[in-house]
Amino acid sequence: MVTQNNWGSDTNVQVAKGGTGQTTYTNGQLLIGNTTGNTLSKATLTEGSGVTITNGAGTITIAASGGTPSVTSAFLAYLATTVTNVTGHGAVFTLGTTTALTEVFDTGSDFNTNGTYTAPSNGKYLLTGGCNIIDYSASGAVVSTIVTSNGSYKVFIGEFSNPPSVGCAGSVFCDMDTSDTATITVSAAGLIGNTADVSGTGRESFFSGLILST
Amino acid sequence: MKAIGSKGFKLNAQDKKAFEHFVLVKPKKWCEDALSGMLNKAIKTILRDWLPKYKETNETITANLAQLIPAIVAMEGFKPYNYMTANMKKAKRKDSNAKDIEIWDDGFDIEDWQETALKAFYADPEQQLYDFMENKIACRKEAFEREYEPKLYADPEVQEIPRDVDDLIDLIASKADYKNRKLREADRETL
Repeated sequence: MVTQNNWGSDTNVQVAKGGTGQTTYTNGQLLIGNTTGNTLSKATLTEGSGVTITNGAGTITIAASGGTPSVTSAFLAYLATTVTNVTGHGAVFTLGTTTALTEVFDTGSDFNTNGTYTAPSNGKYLLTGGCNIIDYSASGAVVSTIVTSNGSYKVFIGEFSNPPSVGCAGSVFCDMDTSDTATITVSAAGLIGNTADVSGTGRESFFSGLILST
Repeated sequence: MKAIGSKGFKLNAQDKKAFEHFVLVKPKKWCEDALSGMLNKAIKTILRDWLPKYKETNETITANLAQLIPAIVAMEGFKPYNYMTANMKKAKRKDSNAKDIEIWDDGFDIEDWQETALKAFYADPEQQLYDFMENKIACRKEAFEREYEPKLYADPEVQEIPRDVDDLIDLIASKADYKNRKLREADRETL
């Protein structure tokens, strides 16, 4: 039989003798190495942002505490000034190229106001955007495309006959690799020249996106 | 004026085919765009985090980034970010397939103040740029496998699939009806 006198002179068995140095615990306490005196200290886990800890009798439950998930890269920008004569006869207009876009937010600093978003890491991204084409009295097709390094996604295709304007918007959930780029383009056909405009009124022409997973 | 990526970069033929299967622009252009993204991120982050402090001690704030960025970086208390993008991948390659296709040889020119911004933000901007290109190739080779291996499994005439991704790329790209993204999109435009 092992008695305390075999292991040390204290009432509890010390670490140096193979014990813990502890005699009592509260729910959820763990033994953690402590360089001060080379002992074991009792401590419970500490909750972090978005993480809850529930201590029980012989148990520790770790859970996400809900709330808003942290997004490392997200952006929204829009055209604040109408750009004129950019499509109508098939010319492809890339939003942001002739007039810088106005940023609403750019979490992660990955968006350039020239209309280009650069992926900060390999992952899955949700990209959305649209353009409102005005001064377009013609019969023809309108196409809006979200162009990424890995693919071109026609997010809007329509045939129109003398509309006053065409709002073409869409979205894609897509893969991007680190440093890939994404832009949104619009092209309208049917006029005898590229005399149609892209509206800069009321945030009708915009581009937005975020990383959803890696 | 400084050059970044001045050691050059080479790919093997299978790397290039995998890249062109998905990407419209040439690898060098992709890398130029990546560099633009690096510059944009560095400049915007530095301005976001440090311009308020700079305003506290300077009465006039120049709108010229070529002057403003170096002034902020030289400010007392400025701390470099030492940022490096994590989880960069290395492309799988067969040793016998030489990396003999030159993508660029003399690097990309940037202004001195842009170099200041890159060095203030990235731990090693030069290496980061190479890592981006290598990661891109690795990702596209993996994507090529993901796209074509199921097709080979579903083809009753295929008895076995290539063990190496380089061999898989050669097999698929050598088919008479194979088209990379540039050719596929050209076809679509003519419909």
